[in-house]
This record gives sequence, C-alpha cells and structure tokens, in this order.
Amino acid sequence: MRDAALSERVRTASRAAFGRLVDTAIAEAVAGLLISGDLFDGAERSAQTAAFLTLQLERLRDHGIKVFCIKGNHDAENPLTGDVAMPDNVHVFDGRGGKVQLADGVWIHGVSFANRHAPESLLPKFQAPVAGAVNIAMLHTSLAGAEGHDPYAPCTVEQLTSMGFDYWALGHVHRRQIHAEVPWVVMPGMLQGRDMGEPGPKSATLITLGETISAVEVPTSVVEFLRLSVDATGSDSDDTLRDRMRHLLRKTASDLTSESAVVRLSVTGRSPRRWQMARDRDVWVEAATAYARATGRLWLEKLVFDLSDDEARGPSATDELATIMQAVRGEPGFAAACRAEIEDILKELPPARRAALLPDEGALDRLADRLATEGAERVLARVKGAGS
Amino acid sequence: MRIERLCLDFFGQFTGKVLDFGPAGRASDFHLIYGPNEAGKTTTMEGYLRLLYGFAHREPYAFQHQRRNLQVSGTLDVGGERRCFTRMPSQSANLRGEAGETLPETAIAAHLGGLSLDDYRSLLCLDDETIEKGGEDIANARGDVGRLLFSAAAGVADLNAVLDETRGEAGTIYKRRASTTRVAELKRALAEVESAIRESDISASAWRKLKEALRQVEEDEREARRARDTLREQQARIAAMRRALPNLSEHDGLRDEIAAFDDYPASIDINPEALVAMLSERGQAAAELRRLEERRDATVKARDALVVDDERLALGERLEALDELRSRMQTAALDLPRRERSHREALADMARVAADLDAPEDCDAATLITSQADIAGLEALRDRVRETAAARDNGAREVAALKIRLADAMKAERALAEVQPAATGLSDLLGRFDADRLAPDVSAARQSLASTEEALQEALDRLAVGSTGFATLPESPVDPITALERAARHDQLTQNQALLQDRLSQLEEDIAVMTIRTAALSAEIGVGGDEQAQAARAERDALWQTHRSALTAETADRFAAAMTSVDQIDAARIALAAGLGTLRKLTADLAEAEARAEAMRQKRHGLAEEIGALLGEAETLAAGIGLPPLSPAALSDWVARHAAAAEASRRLERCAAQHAPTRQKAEDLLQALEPLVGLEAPDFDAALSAARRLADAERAEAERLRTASEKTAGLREEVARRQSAQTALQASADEARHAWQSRIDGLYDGKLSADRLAEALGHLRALREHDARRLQAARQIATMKDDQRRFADAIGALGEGFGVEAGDPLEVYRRLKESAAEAHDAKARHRQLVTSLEEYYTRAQQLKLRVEEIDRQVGELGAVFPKTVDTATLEALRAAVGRARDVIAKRAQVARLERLILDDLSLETMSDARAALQGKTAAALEAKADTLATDLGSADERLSAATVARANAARDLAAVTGGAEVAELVAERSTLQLQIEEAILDYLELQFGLRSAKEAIRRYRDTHRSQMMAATEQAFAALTNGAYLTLRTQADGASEILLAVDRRGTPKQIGDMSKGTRFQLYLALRAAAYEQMVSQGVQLPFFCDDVFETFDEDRTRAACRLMERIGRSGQAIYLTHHRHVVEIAEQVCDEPPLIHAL
Repeated sequence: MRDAALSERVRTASRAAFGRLVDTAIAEAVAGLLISGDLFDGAERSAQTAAFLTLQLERLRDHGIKVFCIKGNHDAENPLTGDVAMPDNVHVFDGRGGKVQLADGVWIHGVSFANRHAPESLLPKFQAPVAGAVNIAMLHTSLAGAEGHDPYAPCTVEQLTSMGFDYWALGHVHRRQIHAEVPWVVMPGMLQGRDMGEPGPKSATLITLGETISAVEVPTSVVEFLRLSVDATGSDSDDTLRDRMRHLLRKTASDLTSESAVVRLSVTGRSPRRWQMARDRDVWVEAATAYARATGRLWLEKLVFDLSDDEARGPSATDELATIMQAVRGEPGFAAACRAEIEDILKELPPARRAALLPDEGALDRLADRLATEGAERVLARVKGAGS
Repeated sequence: MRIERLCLDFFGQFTGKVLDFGPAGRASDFHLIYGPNEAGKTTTMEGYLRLLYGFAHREPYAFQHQRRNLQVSGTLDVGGERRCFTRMPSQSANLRGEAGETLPETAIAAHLGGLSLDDYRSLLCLDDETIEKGGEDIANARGDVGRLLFSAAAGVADLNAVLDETRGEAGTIYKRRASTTRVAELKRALAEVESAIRESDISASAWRKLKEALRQVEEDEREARRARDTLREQQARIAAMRRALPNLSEHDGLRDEIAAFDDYPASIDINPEALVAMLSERGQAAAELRRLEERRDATVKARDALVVDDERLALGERLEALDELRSRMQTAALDLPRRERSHREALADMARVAADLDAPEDCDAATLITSQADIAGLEALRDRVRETAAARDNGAREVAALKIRLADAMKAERALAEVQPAATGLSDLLGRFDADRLAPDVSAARQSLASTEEALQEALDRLAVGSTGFATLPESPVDPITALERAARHDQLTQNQALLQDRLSQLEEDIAVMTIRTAALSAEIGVGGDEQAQAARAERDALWQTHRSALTAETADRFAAAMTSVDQIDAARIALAAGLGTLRKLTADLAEAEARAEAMRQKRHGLAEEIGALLGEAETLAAGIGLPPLSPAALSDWVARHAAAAEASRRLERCAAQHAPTRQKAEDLLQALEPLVGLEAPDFDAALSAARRLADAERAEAERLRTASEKTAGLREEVARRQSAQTALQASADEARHAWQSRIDGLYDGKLSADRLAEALGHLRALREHDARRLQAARQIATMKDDQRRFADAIGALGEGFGVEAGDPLEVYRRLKESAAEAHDAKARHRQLVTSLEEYYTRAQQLKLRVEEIDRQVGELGAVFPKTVDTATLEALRAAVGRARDVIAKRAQVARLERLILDDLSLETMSDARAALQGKTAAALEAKADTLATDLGSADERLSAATVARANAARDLAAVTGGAEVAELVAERSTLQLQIEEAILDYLELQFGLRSAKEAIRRYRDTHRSQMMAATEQAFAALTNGAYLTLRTQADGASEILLAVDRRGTPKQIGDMSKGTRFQLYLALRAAAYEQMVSQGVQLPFFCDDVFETFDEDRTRAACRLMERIGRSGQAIYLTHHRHVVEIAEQVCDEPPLIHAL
C-alpha cells in the first residue's frame, strides 16, 4: 500500500484488534477468554509476537481473567506454539482432551489438534458434560468443510447439538456464523481481516451465563476490507459518476463498523464513456483516492473498471483494429507466447505469490487470456483517446 | 448522409442563422464557408455536431443564449430521403422530427456508421492542430506503412506517440536487468525488508535461551566485581602509604624551619603588591612636583611678553560687513562685457523683425511693440476672417452638388412612372381569401384525403381473392361474428378429426401388433393351447367312455395314449403357463382394441359429415358474392378484411365532409384567380403561386415609385434650404474682414499692412520677446556699475584709518584682512597661557596632599609587627611583610601535610601515622604495588568481559519486545510482494496489449494497403502538384516503409521530406481514409477548419482540388477566414465550390 498512514495501520491491525479484545475483556470483567485455535498464523515465528502475546495475556492475568486455548491446524504447524512460556492464567488443552472448571458450576471442555491435519472427527475425545453444570466446549473444526479444501476435524452441527454441551465455541473459519442457538454453536470468525479475501467487519463473541445463555457480537477489527461497486450506467457525464462515487464512499464511511476501511472500488455497468475512463484511469484513481481520503476513514486500495458499452463495433478503423486484436488474441501462437512470457517473468516473484497467482493447471491460460484482453483494452483506449 | 440545410436557431452568437447547402447532385459536393475571424465558422461546425449528437452537459456555446434555450435544426439527406430534425437541449427526448414529434436517438445514430462524437471529430473534422500532429507522427512513424494507414484511417494523429508512450511506460515498470524500473526498485525495497527481518527477528526458543543466558552472565559479573573490589582496596592502602612517607618527611622539615618566628602574627592583611604600588606612587608624585615648578616659571615669562591691540581686533568685523559687496564686485568684473553684448543683440533683432513686417525704414521698432491682449485679439479676428470665408466656399460647392442630384432623381422618377404596370387587384383578392392560411389548409386537406383514399383502396385490394377483385365495397354475405364462430367450429372439428385419425391410426397399429404377437404366441404354445387341451380332454373322455364300455386292450391302449396326450398337454401348459396368461390377456386386449377402433371410425364419420356441411355453407356464401370457394377460416378472414374496408370507406366519407369547406373556398379562389394569372387551366397551387408572384411584383414596383418620389421631394427641399443659408454665410465673411482691417489701422496707424500682418502675426510675439531681452540686459548693467563704486569708497576709507596705501580696492582689502588676523591670534595666545598657569597651581596642591597620605598609611601598617621589627619606612615595612607571609605559608603547608597523611592512612593522629609507617620503605611499597597492579588488571579485564557479556545479553533480550517492528516488516514484505506482482501484471498487460496492437496494425496494413495506397497516391500527387507521382513500399525488417517517388523518379523516404510535404502526405492519407469509409458505406460530411493556414498558394490550390475530390465521393465543407482561399478554390476547381458567407 502506497499510503504510509494506511500501511502503518494495516500492518499493526491484527495486534491492535487483539489488544482491543483484551481491553474489552477487562472492561467487561469477564471470567475467561476462550481461544478456539489458530492463535498463531502458520508462518508466524517471531519472538516479538510471542512477547506481545505474553504481555497481553499477563494483562488478563493481572485482572484475574483465565484464558483457555485449544490448538488449531495453524498452531500445530507453528514453531511458536511450543516455545512460548504462557503465563499461569492460561490453560492449553492437549490433543487427548479434557475439562477445566472455570467457576462454580461452569466447566470448559476442549481438544487440541495434535498435528496440522485432523481428517477424523475429534468429538469422541470429549468427555461427557458435567451434570448440573454449564458446559462449554471448544473445538477447532471446518464442520462439513468446503469442496476442494482438506477437512479439519470434520463433524456436523447435528452431531454437536446432540452431545449435551450448552455452548460450542468453534474456531477455524474466518467468517462469523451462528449455526445454532439451542444449544449455541458459534463460529465467531476472526478478530481482524488481513486482506481483500477477508472482507467486512470482524469480531469476537461475548457469552453471558445467566438463567439462559446469551451470545453478543463484539466488534474488534481496526481496519476492514471492503469491496464496493458503483454503477456507471446512465451517468451521462464524468461529474455524475464522480458524484455517485463520492456518495457511495461517504455513505460507506458513515455506516462503517471498524475505525477505517480499505476499499476496492469497482466501476460496473454500461457506459459509452468506458474508453475514456480506461484511458484516464490515472485521473480516476486520483479522484477516487481523494474522495476516499476525504472521508477520513477510507483508503482506496484499487480502482477496477469493469465496464461494457452498448455500442456495437462500427466500421471505424479503431473498431476494425479491435476486431483484429481480438482475433490475434484468440490464436494459439499468441497465447503460447504470452504464457511463455508470463512463466518467464513470474520467476521474479516469490514462490508464495507464484502459487497464489497460478493455483491450478488452467490458471496460466486464464491469466494469459485476462492480461491479453485487459492489455488490449488499455492500448485501444489510449488509441481511441488520442483520436478524441 | 449529407447535410442539406443547417439552422443555428439559438446557438453560440447565432440566432436563426441558416446555411443552405442545397440538394445533392452536383459533380462535387464541395462547400466553402467564409467569414472573418470570430464570425462563427467553428461555431457552425459545432452546431452541426450538436444536431447529430446532442448538446454537451457543460455547453461552451451557451454564452449568448442560455443552455436551456439552445436549439439547432437541419435537413439531412439520408440515402436520398430528406428528413428534418431539431435538437433540443433537454436531457431526454431531445430529438424532434419535422412536426415536433419526439424521435428516438437512432433516427440519426443509425446513419452515422457507428461513429461516436469523438470518432466523428477525429475522422471527419480536420484542423491545424490535427495536421500538425499528423505531420509529426508521420516523421515519428519513420514511414511504417501499417501505422501510417491506420493513423490516417482512425483519425489518430499521434498513434506513434501513443504506442511509444505505452512502450515507455511498460519500460519504466519492468526491464530485465535494469536497475531503475519500478519492479527493480520494489525488489530492492523487498531485499532491504527481508534483510531487516533477518537481522531483527528472533524465534521464541531463542528468546527463552536469551533469558537464561542473561541470568548467567549477571551472576558472573557480580562475582568478577567482588574480586576486583578487594584488590582495589589493597592497592589503595599501599598507594596511601607510598604517598604518606615523603609527606611525613617534608612535614617535619618545615616545622623546624619556622620554629624561630613564633611571635609573627598568625595572619597578615597587608598586600605586598599594594606596598609596591604605594612606593611607586610616592616617588612619581615627588618627581612630578619638580617638573611642574619648572614649567610654571617659563609660562609666566611668555605671558608677560605678549601685547593685545583692541582697535585692530575690531577691524575684522568691519571687513566682514564689506565681504558681500566685495564678492559682487568680483563677479561684475567678469559679467559686465557679456551683458552689454546681449543688449546690443536685442536691439538688432527688433530692427530685423520690424523690417520683416514691412514697416517703414525709419520706423522705431519699439513703437511696434504690441501688448499680449492686443495680439490675442488680432489672432481671433484673423481666424474669424478665415473660418467665415471657408464656410462660404463650402456652402457654394454643396449647393452645386445638390442641384445635380436633384436633376438625376427627377429623371429617375419620371422613368419609373412611365413603366408602372396597371393594377390587377391580386393582393386584395389574396387577402380577402386569406391565401396564406388557406394554402396549407388545402394542402393538408388534399394530403389527408389522398391518404384516406389510399387506405380505402388498400383495404379494397386486400379483399381480392385470386382473380376476383372489387372496385367498390360489396355487401358482406355474413356478419363477422358468425363467420368467426363458423371458422372456429370448423377449425375445432378439423383438429378433432386429425386427433381422432391419429389415435385411430395408433390403435390400428396396436391391433396389428397384438394380432401378430397373438399368432406368434399361439404358434409357440402349440399343443399347449386352450383349444388343443380341450380337444385332447374331449378325446380322452370319449376314449374313456369307449374303453369303459369295451374294456379291451385296444381301447385301453387308445385310452392310455389319449391320457398320455392329455398329460403331455397339461405338462406343456404348466410349462407355458406364463405364455398362456399373456396370450389370454393379448386376446382380450385385441378384442377391446378392435371394439374401440370401430367406435372411433363411427365418430370420424360423424365429424367428416359436420365438416362437410360447414365447408358447403362457406362455399355457398362465397359464391353468393362472386368469390371462389372459400374455407370457413378464409371466409372469416375475408369478412374481417371487409369490415376494415367498410371502416376505411366511412373514414373517407368523414374526411371528405370535414375538408369540404376548405376545398370549396379553394375552388372559389381558383375561379377568381384564373382570369388574372394568365395560365391555361391552372391548378390551385400553380394559380396561387403565380398570383403571389404577380402581386409581389406589383407591390415591389409601386414601392420603388413611391421611394423615388420621396427622394425627389426631399432633395428639392434641401436645395432651397442650402441656398438660403449661403446668403447668411457671405454676409458673415464680409463683416469679419472689415473688423480685422479696422483693428490694424487703429493699432499701427498705417505703419503695417493688414495682409502682411495676417500672414506674419507671430512676428509681433517675437518682437515682444526681443524687447524684453533688451530691457533685462540694460537693468543688469546699471546694477553692476553701482556695486563697484560703493565698494571702492568704503575700502578706501578703512585703508586710510589703518595706514594702508590707497590703490586697487581688492588689494587694500586683502592687506587689511591680514592685519586683523594677526591681532586676533595674539589675543588667543594670551588667553591660553593664563589658563595653563591656573592648571599648574591646582595640580601641585593635589600632589602634596597625596605624599602626606602615603606616609600616614605606612605608620598604621607597621603597628601589627612586634616592636623588634623595623617598619619605619615603606622599604622596611615591605621586607617585614615578605618574611611574615613566608612563615604563614609554611605553617599552612605543615597543616596540609598532616591532613594528607591522616586522610591517606585513614588515621586520627600523627602519632598513629608515625606508628603505621614505622619500618616501611618506598622500595618495599613499590614492589607490593606492582604485584597488586598486575592482579588488578586481570580482575578488571574479567569484570569488563562480564559486563560486556551482560550488556550484550540484556540488549539481545531487550530487543525482543512486544513491539510490532517485525510484524510490520513482515506485513511490509507482503505488501511489497503484492506490489511487485501488481507491477509485473501491469507490465504484462501493456506488453500483451502492445503486441496484439502491433500485429493487428500489420494485418490492417495488409488488408487495406492496396486500396488506400492507390487513393493516397492520387491525392498526394494532386496535393504536391505532381512533385510526387507515385508511392511505393519497401520491406524494412518485419515492417514495410513508405517511399514517395518524385518527378525525376527518385524515391524519397519520409524522413527526407520537408515538414510541409509531410503535412501534405498526412492530408492525402486522410483523404484516402475518407474514400475507404465511403467504400464501406459510411458517407458523412467532412469538415476542414482553416487547415491550409501553413500552405503556400500552390499547395492551397492543390488542397482545394483535393477537397473537390472528397466532395465527389461525399460532402466536403471547408471553413476559412482567408479570402484568397475562396478565390483560389473558385479558380482551380472544375466545378467551383458553393460559397457560404458568414
């Protein structure tokens, strides 16, 4: 991110969110904090992170708050997990499972991942709920999972609800979801999104035990990632579109849950001015950046033009050129040359980015096609722009 | 499409401005719009574009009319059809048709070949800037044919700049092994961040080890410090004894030295320096007193020798009083001859002026001096004479001219009166019938009737069936509802019949299949069949009866055989039981199917009969009105068409009735006009048109005669008025002349002539100026002579009083001045000597007092010493003080050494100290100290190493804070990786876009080369007046470059052409591109806005011919403010362009 202030805020957002969670726990004078796995990212190995975590957990200890953790798949593969000497208010359940009394009549149950994969259900490792007490169970699971992804401690909501626990505190999936309310089966999501792949505000869940159990969402994210879209259809002038952008960004800023947001703004719809917009992309990016910045809470990450126009191609030379360019792009030789160049130049990227860009076999073809199509549009826009 | 008429109703500075380009059909559709700068040429072009594409949101041409009032209209020729459009400024529904109806945008857009406004501007509107860019682009393309053709055809003036810029942009993003690209910079930043992470990051296990290491090194440091401190203490003790030994020795020596001076005071408050100063001061005072007395005696002697003369002292003041007079006298001695010369010249000038004025020779010029007021009066009189004479002469000339114009006007009036036609009364007639309103009404009525009649005729035509048609509307044989019902019934029955037939066919097929299957099963079952079984059983029962009654072996065998047969059949039947069941079901199904088929056949018959009846009825009805046989549906359609025809017939009747009064009025007018218009059986339009023409001509003639009469009468009145005025002018001139002559005579009494003076009135002013100069010179001469005389008198008297010889007054003055100065100097010297004496006396008194004071102080200071010590004089006192100070200093040194020894040894008394140092020697202590120093060095090194180790461990541990530095670096690394990815993808996009564009331009060239090259060649030859006759291409690597071959056959590359020729080539390419568009079916007006600005005359000629050429394939409109372009175009074009002036 080229904006220094934003860059700073995003870089420290995960820590700020955890700090905010600890602040909330202290302010609400909670009895315990439940962390259902993936406390560490798989790649995180810095002692600074361990030191920060220790510091925050010690703050909780100073306020008499107990912390319960289970290890998730990322914890299992992370070297920090074994090396951090946790303060004595922290209890980490092991892979054999167990239960700990939080308070009179309240028991916390948990089972950790023994290693980074758990293809089988971990439910058999749970001990039976303590009769006459409130039983809260912690489990790191992908539940039924998603197609194409490895299953992590697979189980179903029905299996969970039938085990007799009063509250299932789940972890693993980054998006918050309440699967059941009697008993509660809550996937609280993560505290802070890390990139555009994890959009929206993020939160923790405050559980209150009374005659009944309530679960309330507590916002934690400092920065949220948002994908916005403004429709250019029917905007007869640049001013109209600018107004729409401004309005959308202002409204988003005023409705924002987190303190600030990183925005990817797409311009969609149909517009006869799409060529001019593509040509003047830099000007539009400047404008959108300024509008976002003017809200004081939003930063523009990227401006994407995803426009089509109503006009059929005419007999003009530029239209003819566009048609020829389209034909050229469709030719195997051109595509092969593009693929070769991509493969060659992608050596400049770190392996992780290469893998992200080309996740499967067909990805190279798709990338080559997308780049060729968008590149042709950009050059055509400039040619058209130079003529007008 | 072409523009036939453009009306800028409210646009720019125009209101209702119409440009009529006329209908198509000229050999070349070339138009020149000519007007001076700011006349609105570009506005006209923009107005045309607004008509096609609508008004801009922020309209720059809304400066005179508000945007909401803007309007442009025009007539377009679209494929031979004339269509009127009006463009309004509203946001929607802003395109209107001829009758004000809203038209969809496609009404125009459909004929623009898909060109957007920007496309239109770039392809079909040329201006200087485009040509300039195009010429440069041709140079930049270095002759690449593909780019040249595409640039021209796409109207992209700087395609190369665009492609180069894009290529450059890609180059700034990424280039292999380059170090200044964006990717390279990001990678550098990434490497730095990764290095920073490596340096600052530390793992959690290492952190734990760090904590342990710190604890260990802290313990080591404490131990090392303890050991070192012990050694230091020992070293300090040895060092103290080594310092104390010499101190004790010195202490004892000093104490012995001062033992004899115990009665000297413990302290003394006398500063020896002060004593020295006092001694010095007393000596200086005595010496100065002696010098003062000597100088006093010399001064008294000098004062007594001086003489002061008061009379000569007063002389100075009297000479000062005469100084101004002396100064003036000196100046006058220089100026007097010049003033006298000036006086003589002024007199000579006056005499010359008098001669110029033709005064008599003996006339004194001074008598001609005239006052300023008189000169002004003379000037006024002379001007008056001149003005009145000029007015009189002008008046006379104008009267003569007016008389000539009057004669011409009377002649023209008579000529007009003779050719006036007789009155026809046509105007009144047209007015009475209100022809202006009647004509459109008649036209509308005629059009309305024609269209209604046509509608009726079309409806009747639609009634025709085969060869049977109807000229008039026949009676309908049946009402539409009945016909529709019958048709529906027939249709329904036919459908039922078809359905029934389908189902019957299906059933018959099923029956056939079942029959075949029954037969096959029966054959398969064979003996097991029901019939065979029954037959076998019947045979068995009969043979049983036979056997029972006979009971023979034969009957028994036959019965047994029959039994066996029945058993075999039964066994077979059991084996084929399933087949039998099927056979039975098939048999039953077959019977049912046949029954159903029969029922269907009967139903089909009933339907056929009913259908036949309906058909028969329809045919009968059709035959009734002479139509060939029709089905009920066809008849129903016909009846519906008949109803429409009946409606059209009624509409025609209503229309005729509605327009009957208009038509009658038109008929009446036609009858009234017929005898007057002189046409043979004219129709209404022809008669009306002729009548209007005649009436207009009649009105115009009458108007011209009336105008001529008014002009004659006006001129006649003007002549009379001017003649009367002329008499007054003459009188005024005479009166002025008389006044002038009288005034001259009065002033100069005949010495000067009036005519000479009228020409030389300015001489009188010159005369006044010369006289003034003469008078001033005379005054100055008199004043100077008076000053000389007064100075000589005064200085002579003074010289005599002080004994100076008489002579040149200035010399006398100088000598008197010297005498006065001498007296003044003597007086000043006397005053100075008296002052010096007074100062001497005062200073001597001060010195005596100071010597007495010093002697008193010496006495007081000596009192602090014992009586035995001599302190009588300053020198003795100074010696005593010196000794006392030495004793006191040694006493202090003894005390200091005591303190040092006790402090070093940390003891209380000197006796303890002596005991401690008893038997110690310096050599022994030094040896001990050396040993300790070695031990201490080792201990220090050990401590230092432990401290460094502890500090390092503490630093390493302190570096691991809960801070976010590493997390931030890691995040920054991710950001940088993403940025590199973005940049690379950005680069690839541009690369692929460029690559496909380059290939596409090459293919574009291949597709269009031959046609566009031929057209460009022709146009270029025309534009360069044949300087370049052909164009050809030459391979240059992967591309082809363009060469122009000149008149001598020499090929020339683009880079070798002049700037002007490159412009022409660009223009030729654009013309070829236009022709290509036309060949593709897009034919739109082509605009040029003063593009020939930089062309010389020859090139402008060629360019005009080129425009004419474009006009042959489409419509060419050229906007210019150069009159010479218009003239050249008219000369050089085969068919001169239509000129439209703004």
